[in-house]
Amino acid sequence: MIAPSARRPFSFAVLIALLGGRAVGAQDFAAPAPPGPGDAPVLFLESALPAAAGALALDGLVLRWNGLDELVTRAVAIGFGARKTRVAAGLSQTGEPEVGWTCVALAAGAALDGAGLGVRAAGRRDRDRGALGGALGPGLGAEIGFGAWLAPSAGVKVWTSAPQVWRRGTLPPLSRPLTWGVGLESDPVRGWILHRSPSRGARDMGELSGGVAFVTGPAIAWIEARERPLRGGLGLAARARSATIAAQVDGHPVLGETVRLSVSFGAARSMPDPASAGTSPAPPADRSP
Amino acid sequence: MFVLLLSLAVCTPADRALVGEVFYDAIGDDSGHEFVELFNPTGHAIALAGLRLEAGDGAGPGRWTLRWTGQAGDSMRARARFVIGGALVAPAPDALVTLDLQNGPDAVRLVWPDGAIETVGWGALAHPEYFCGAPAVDAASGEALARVPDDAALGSNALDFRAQPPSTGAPNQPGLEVALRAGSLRVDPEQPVVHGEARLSATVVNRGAVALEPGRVTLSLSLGDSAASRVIEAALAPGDSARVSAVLQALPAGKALAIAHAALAGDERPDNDSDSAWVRVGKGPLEVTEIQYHPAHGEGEWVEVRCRDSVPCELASFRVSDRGAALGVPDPDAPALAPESLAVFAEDRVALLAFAGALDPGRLIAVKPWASLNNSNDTSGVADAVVIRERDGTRSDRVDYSATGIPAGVPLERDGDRWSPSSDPAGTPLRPPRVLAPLASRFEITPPRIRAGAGGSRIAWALPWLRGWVSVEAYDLEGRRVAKLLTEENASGRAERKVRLDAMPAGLYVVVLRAKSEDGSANVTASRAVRIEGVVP
Repeated sequence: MIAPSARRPFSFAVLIALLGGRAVGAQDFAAPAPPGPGDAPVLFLESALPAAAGALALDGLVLRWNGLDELVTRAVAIGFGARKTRVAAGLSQTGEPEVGWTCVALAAGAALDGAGLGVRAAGRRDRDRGALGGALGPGLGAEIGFGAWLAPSAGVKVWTSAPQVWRRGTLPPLSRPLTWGVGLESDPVRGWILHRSPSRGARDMGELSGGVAFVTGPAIAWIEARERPLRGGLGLAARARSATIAAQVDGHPVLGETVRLSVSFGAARSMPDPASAGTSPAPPADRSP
Repeated sequence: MFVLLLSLAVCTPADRALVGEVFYDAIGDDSGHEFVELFNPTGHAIALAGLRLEAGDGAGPGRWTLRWTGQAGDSMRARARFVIGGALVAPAPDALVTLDLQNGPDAVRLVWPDGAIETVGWGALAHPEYFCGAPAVDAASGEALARVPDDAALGSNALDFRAQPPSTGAPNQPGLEVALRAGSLRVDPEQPVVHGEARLSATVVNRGAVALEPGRVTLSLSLGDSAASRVIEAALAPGDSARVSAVLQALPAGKALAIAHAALAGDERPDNDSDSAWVRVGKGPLEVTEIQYHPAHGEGEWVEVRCRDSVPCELASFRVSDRGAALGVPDPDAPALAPESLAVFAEDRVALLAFAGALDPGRLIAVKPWASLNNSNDTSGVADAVVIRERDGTRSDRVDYSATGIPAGVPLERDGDRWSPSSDPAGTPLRPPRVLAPLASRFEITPPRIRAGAGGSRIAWALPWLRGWVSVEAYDLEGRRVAKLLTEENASGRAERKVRLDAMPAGLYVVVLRAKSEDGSANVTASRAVRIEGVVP
């Protein structure tokens, strides 16, 4: 039996690696996780932030937006990394035919010591047969974006993501502008601040959000808050063997709750959280005391 | 002092008859009603032979025209009066003349054979030749300019004359006289509810030369069979007035005459002691059921009315107005409206017919002049009012409406005793309110998918209350509010609106209906997803 103190680094690393992070403005692969770079394929597809460590992983995701039965997202993604190369692919479908869409996404990137850079591409097709025609065909749209992260010192990480730098055809359900974030770690507490730039054509001032995570054994819990309007979320994830189950509930002063559930399968990986050093550490077992 | 004496001398030539009263603006057509009364304040007779009465047109200098010249037999005894006027003046004038006086600013003057002149001007006169000292006030229709007291000579028309009801051939200021100020009778509310109460009030004026002690004047107020009396407990000096009111209760339904009567023992002129007005208690025969105050398709404003009487309503006998005083008159050939039937009073009948098409032209009545209805609220929260009156002025219905929360172009429609945006965005003229089909859920949007810039969607709701406060907002997938689609309004529990979604950028939005019951004790929130389509240009 492994003592908790010896097991903790392993559990924590695996857990956070599988949870990874998500960028503000997620729509097709919005996993339950704190924001920022991570190892989960769904996060790489969504934000173009590559994992620090490469491993084979499979993600499944179900999400119900604002309590609306007509607006449920189901997604699967697979990711793999070898040496410094990272790739991921995924399929997602959201909503009933009249308002919904299907998305195929690919992401590729590289992770160096203390830094990562990725590119993502997504293609969508509206489910409605009478969808508006565009340059790529009725209801078809595509977008390409990039993401990058940097770990300048232990316990500090910064990242940026611009998932829709190039768009063509049908416009996406959610316009996702540039975001940047800073994560800090002081074990067992992690914290982060995220800024979203104003959306294209919008008159708003952008948005700030922040959160804090607490790690204990094989579980992690986090809360986050966002402004205008003030709203927040609460998440919880736990790992058992090679599977991780995560859930997040986002509250809103007006809208119903958004509920996310995910199941991930994969080898233990590094990159424990947004604020960690982000270097490519040795396998978790080797890090155990 | 010399200047003052000089001016006194100029205004009223010594030892002559004076202009005692001028009546130049009768209610309605002036013809035959106008008169100029002369008063001899001296203790001896005065011959009027050669005396000239001239009318002045204040619009320009030197515009005097002769109206009457005294003949050899014309004379006035001491303290007597001499009336020069039209054929309809009562009692009959001493000299029958069509005066054709202007309604002001204008003047009359007496030119004596020896060259002495007395000038009386009224209104805002620009040329000094038309007045003496300062012009008198411009009397309202139905009132005369009267010298008070009868021999006043204070050196100015403004000081010598005041506006008051005509007193043809009689003293302008009797010794003992009270009167009801013309038009001062008020009934509040103007259209009381059945078995409710109303406050009647009127103004009593001491028009005599004698001061009245407290308790000498009694005012009686009545409405139908309900009546009350009030003793005026204040002293009334000459010229003083008192506002007196009484609340009458348990008023029966129907049309009744409100009467105010002032009683003073020994009143030398009892003919001006009463005033009256017709009042409707309860709902009138014609009620407003729909108001289009902001037409968006050039169809003109219109008001739908319903005949709620048990006998046909003679539409031509009603008057339509906003909250102003100008009354619109329906086409005199308008037919009688059968009980429980609907008709439409229209600003532009032809345009409304062209817009609505299938309307029965026989129940579409042109009204002229049409009082333009306001589209936005004033500081009191009311945009305007639609008032329906009978020919005699009795109010049949009045609707004060607010424009807050009413979508552009959508008429207001009666919903019981409430008013809401019409169940049909184009309105339901000559039709009862549209009965909305039951909804499968609390909140629906049709269609849920529209193209950016292509118009709006219809939103519909079914609340668990008859009425409630409703607002609709749109949020993006990140929970940011993107648009306020419907400002909070008091709406029917089952209603529909057309909202402009196309102003939002392309994307997927969650549209939220927020409603609370009228008493605020319960809330309902319901959401729907909407997709706004758009492509990269």
